[in-house]
Amino acid sequence: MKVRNFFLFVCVLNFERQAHFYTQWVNEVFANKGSQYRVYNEATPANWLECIQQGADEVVVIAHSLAIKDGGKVISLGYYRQLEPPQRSELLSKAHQYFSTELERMDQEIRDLETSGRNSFERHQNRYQDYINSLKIQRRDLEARFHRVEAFPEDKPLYEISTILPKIFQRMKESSKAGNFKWKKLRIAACNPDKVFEPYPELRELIQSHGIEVEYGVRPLLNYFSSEETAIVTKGWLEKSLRR
Amino acid sequence: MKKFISTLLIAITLTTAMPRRSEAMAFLSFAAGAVGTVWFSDDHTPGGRLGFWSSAAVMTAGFLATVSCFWTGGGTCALAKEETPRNIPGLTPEYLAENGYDGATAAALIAQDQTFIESIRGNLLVVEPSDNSQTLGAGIRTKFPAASEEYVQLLAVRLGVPVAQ
Repeated sequence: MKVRNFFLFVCVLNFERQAHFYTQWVNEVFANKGSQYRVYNEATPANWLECIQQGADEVVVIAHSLAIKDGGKVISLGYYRQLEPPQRSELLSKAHQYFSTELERMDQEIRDLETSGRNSFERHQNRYQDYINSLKIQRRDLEARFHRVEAFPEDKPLYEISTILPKIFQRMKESSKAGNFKWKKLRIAACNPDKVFEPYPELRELIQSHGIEVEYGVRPLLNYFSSEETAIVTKGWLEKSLRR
Repeated sequence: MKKFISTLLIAITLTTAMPRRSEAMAFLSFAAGAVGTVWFSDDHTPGGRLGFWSSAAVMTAGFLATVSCFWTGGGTCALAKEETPRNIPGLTPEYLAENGYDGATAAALIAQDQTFIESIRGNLLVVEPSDNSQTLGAGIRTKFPAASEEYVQLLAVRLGVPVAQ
């Protein structure tokens, strides 16, 4: 019979946004389960370091994997950072500026085509009107996005998705020499779970040298049909951290 | 029998030609269904009819899955990819602090980042998927010879391209 360890300290690092359903599940599963479960929603890498320094036995990580471009070779772990008010208004104003400039440019292009381009080769080829129509469709889409930016609610947070930098794992490695290093298990749910350790050699070394057990999220059946490996979160998977 | 073998061969050839596993698996179901349909087409016994209609169902499902895979791109992590920003935001003290950098190192890295961004402005450093660590490292160092090793490593992780350790 397995004896539940009441002194096990579990850190749940949910790098997802507050409004995401994973956050709701995390809250449901770990709410009122005692102080041995510490939950960080919209977590930061610093929270991970904090957990390790405070003697966490198990760390549960829910993160995105980021490939900057499809063919990119390195897939890193990512997290959402809520933008501070100055960055938020700067971004919104940049977006506003971008969309209005683009709209003006497209209007000009459509006007030019409709007036001077009538006798062009494009029209002769019967593609002229199709091209204008496609521009108009693009313009409509752009205008919708412009209005969304204009009407963006004041109280709605804006995020940027950022890469977890390797430095945090260097710091963990340094901390591992301290007396209260107890980390035994990492449970991680992210896309491309086998690749996300590649840019973090310090984390790999830490796992190997301390024999930290790694358990991935649920690999859905869909993986079999997909070109991409994913390890997802389910409530059952989260609950496994409660069953000791 | 000849009809069956030729259908099978065509199915195998087309399956192996599929660009991704998702499409290949979906198409394999379609092909298996097609082979079964051909196999049972002349069998008018109750068992043969069952085989024929089951194969036809598998073939239809496989066909729909193939179309759907091509349509959706076959990826299940598309959302995460979509949300990956096209532009890498500049370094900020908050971001570096969250990632374990002390104030002095963070300030030095931010200064390098600003110089680097200025140096590539209008002359953007393009990192192709085929680029290896040497070309990325060389690219950054050519455009920005003063880059520290820590900054090059940090940029590489943010760009998603490996740099030799």
